[in-house]
Amino acid sequence: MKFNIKSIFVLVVCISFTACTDVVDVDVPFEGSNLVIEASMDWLNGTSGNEQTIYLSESTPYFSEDQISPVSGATISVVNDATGETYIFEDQNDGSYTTTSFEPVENQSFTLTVVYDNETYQASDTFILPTAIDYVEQTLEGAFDDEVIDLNTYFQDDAEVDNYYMNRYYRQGDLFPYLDTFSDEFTNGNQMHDFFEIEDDEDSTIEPLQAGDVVDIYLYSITESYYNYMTLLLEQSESSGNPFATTPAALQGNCKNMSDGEDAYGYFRTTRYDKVTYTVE
Amino acid sequence: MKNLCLILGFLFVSLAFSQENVTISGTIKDDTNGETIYGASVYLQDTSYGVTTNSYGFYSLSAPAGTYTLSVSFIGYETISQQITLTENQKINFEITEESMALDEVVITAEENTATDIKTPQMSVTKLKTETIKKIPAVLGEVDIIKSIQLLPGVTNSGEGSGGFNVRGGAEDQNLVLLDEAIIYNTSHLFGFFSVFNADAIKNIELYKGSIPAQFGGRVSSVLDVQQKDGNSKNYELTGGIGAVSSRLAVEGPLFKEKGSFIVAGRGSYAHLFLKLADNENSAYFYDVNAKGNYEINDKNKLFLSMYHGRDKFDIANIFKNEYGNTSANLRWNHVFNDKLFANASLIYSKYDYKIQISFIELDWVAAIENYNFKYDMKYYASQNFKLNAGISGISYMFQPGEVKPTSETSSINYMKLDDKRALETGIYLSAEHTLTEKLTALYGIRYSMFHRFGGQSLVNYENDLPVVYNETLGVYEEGTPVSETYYDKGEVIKSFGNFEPRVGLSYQLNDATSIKAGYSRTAQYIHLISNTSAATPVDVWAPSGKFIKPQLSDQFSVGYFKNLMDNKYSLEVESFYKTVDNRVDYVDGASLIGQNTIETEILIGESKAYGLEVLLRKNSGKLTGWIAYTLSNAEQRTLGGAAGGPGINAGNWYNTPYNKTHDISVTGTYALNKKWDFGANLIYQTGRPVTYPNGQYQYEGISVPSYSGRNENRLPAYHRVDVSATYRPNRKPEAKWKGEWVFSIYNLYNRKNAASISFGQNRETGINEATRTAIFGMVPSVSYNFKF
Repeated sequence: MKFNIKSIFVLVVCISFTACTDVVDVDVPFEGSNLVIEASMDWLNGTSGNEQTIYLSESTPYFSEDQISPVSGATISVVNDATGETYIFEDQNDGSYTTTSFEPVENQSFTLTVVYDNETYQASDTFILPTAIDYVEQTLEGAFDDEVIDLNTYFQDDAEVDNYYMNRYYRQGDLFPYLDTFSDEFTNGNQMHDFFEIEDDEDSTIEPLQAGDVVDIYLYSITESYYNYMTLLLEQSESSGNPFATTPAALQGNCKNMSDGEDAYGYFRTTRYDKVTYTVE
Repeated sequence: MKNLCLILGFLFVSLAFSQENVTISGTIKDDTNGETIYGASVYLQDTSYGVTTNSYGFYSLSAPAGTYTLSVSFIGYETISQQITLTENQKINFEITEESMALDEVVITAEENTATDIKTPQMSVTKLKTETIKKIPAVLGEVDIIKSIQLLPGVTNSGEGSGGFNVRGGAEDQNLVLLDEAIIYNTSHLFGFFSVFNADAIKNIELYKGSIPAQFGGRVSSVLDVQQKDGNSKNYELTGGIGAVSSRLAVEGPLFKEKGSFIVAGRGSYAHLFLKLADNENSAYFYDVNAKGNYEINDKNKLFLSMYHGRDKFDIANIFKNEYGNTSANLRWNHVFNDKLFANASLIYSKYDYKIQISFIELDWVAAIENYNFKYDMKYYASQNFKLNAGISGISYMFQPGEVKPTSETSSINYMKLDDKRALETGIYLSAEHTLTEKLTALYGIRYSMFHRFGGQSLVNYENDLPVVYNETLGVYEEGTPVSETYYDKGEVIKSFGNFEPRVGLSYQLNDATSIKAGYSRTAQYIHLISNTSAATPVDVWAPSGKFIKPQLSDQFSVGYFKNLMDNKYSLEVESFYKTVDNRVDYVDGASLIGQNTIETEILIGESKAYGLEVLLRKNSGKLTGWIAYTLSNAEQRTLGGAAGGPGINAGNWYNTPYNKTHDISVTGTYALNKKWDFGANLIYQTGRPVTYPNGQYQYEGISVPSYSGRNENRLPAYHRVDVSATYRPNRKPEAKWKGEWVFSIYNLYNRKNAASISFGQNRETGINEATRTAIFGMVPSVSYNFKF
């Protein structure tokens, strides 16, 4: 066999590759609105946790521009399951219901009761031990892109138990926060490290973190049930429809309809949290 | 067991009859390159004596002594005929000539060769030669076996850019994909853009969609049997190509003074494929190598050694690295005991592994599945009316679902290793091809398969023996409560399964050109791909059946009508099937499968069903060849709560499988204009893939959250496109050794933006929800150059 590789190659490469994404109009179903209960009894480390707000609203069509449809006229109470102490939340007539006398108790379960439109909804949850943010550090190299600033939050995981966390990064001025959940499955007992970076996307007006940006960093200690709920919620709201994402499913919160109707969307959660407000340098 | 006795009974009867006959046997090869030909017909004209060659090109034909005209034919080859006088057993080898050499003159009128297709009770099978596949227009000109079989009725996939394929409503992991008998666990390069098979090294492929022959087992949906070329045993030959995606080079030639031959074929893609972020830090590429050699020790013994190694590598700025690939090797020994008994022994190894490195969380993840497989298959050509297949196989599996290593001292990751799992799958089968009357032919057999899950690991014991429990309060499925662990020694069997798998096919010939067929097959599948995404990903892991996962069992019934029209110029195949699968693994909402040591806590066991009608009209000869395929089908699954309680997944209702496409039409054609130009075109129309769209939104935690109801109740817009190609062979002297051709193609001619997916999310700039379509391939023109020397 005689051949000369150099003489036989004719290089023809012609790639016109047009993989792309675009925003399209899609007809999606709407099967009527459902009650949404956002009852987050969040207890900041080092505070009394007396002031609490519960939000009630109704779901709207997916592409609706009025994303929030507040619900007033409900009766809401939260009971300490051990003492029977009841906290009534007052209707502010804008979808929010508030109290200033709530008394959270560590390792104690509480039960929420919402009565609206002749339906009664109930849910329970228990406060678990808190976690404190040790410190926040600003770097360039920590995450995906070496050219944009990222924030690194450090805290200590408790090796004795399975821990579940939720973090919330909110850059002041943004329309909505960045949320994430995680567990200590691969990192039990270690110093935990969480990073936050905003992608430098040329197609978007959303800028990456810059000097002067003020970021509220929240770290919540959550229960396993709430972790399961929130993980699925975030997965479905961020990446649903992607072929490598799981098939979305009806999300089941803990607010059960005691009158045999549809359960409410949302969740009654009792969490401890820590918060750091960080100004990017 | 009754069946078994029956078969043995037939065997003895046939043995008795066969004594009066004379047998001729031998091998059929291509006269230009010495490749053995699978499926060629050898028959005695004006009689009903005929046989087709096996995958090693071997045939054995028995007939009463006498003088006959013996013919050998194969589609695409010139039929040869010769006078023979049968007086004693003899060995005759034939070499046949490809007809494209004389394209202008010959329009073949196939004789009985296609008629045998009508006679055989084997149905739901399609064989494609590489030459046919190479003529089908392909995206970026990259010839793709997996994409080409999707043009056949009953075969679809999850969409562009996703790997694997779905046969008759079956999942991707329900296909047994064999490359020279070695199991290939992942058929995709670049997450599904291309397939792992280099067409230059492949001789032909065979896809069984149902009525799977008894020699195959282990998957419930289909068998894709890919056979590598043996290599040119007459001349050294160099083939290659330069395409838009990859370059290929194959070397083949004779070995051991034409007692053997070899082929080595390699393919490599260019490095920065598909990366929009085209700075130098990113790369994505694949390569694969096929090698095969054979040596004919003597008339009765032949050895084959074949190997495959393929690899994909991704590197995103040194932050995320991923590589994966299949490796396989097979040593085979063909032995002809006598002119009626052909046997093959194979020793096969295959492995699939992947590795992920993520630098910013300082993690290194590896996983693999590996198996050793021994097979022994025999075919006994008892008489014209009776042939017997028998064999055994044993597959020893090693599953390494994952090992996580921190890559630095400061990494917050802890070392973790998921339990390795071991198992042995064995099978024994006996089947017969039996001509009962002139018109009625039967193919019947039985396979008995066993699966032993071995120890060497601990298993968790759960409260009430329930790894998954239904939480009545929250209305969700949760992990069961572990109460203890049991350690099983390496030699200890944790759980064993055994299944009888009857396979029956009948063919009744209505006339010379028409037949009706019916088939039933039961198949068992003992290993499962754990994946809850719409399309399988390279990092999904395989899990064996055992204490918690039962083997999948499928029953498929099919009936068909087969007709050759206009002197076999056209053929029509109409088939209808009904298939059920028991013990299909389904995943609870929010199942966490990554790094999951106790998969049993995330799954429930369900079932699936599929039924459909398939029509295939082929034009087999002439300047224009090709086919029209139409499939009307439905595939659904259901998972009840069972012992775990509760209604089950998706409220216990039947729901669309992610690959349930109601209508699927493919038209593919090749037109040979003259010696210089060939043209090809495809037209594809499919119902959109089932997906789940949100049915509302609400505000929670400051973000807009979509609400969903049932799974897969909506569909993507219909998928359709047209591809065209032209092949140009420049003028060349007949004696010139160098043969080059240019292939010009345009994929998706009218630039249809077919949605591979539509995702939903909240726009951070406006706060409003929007739907984003991902369309993978718009119009893609390409040019490639192929050569042969």
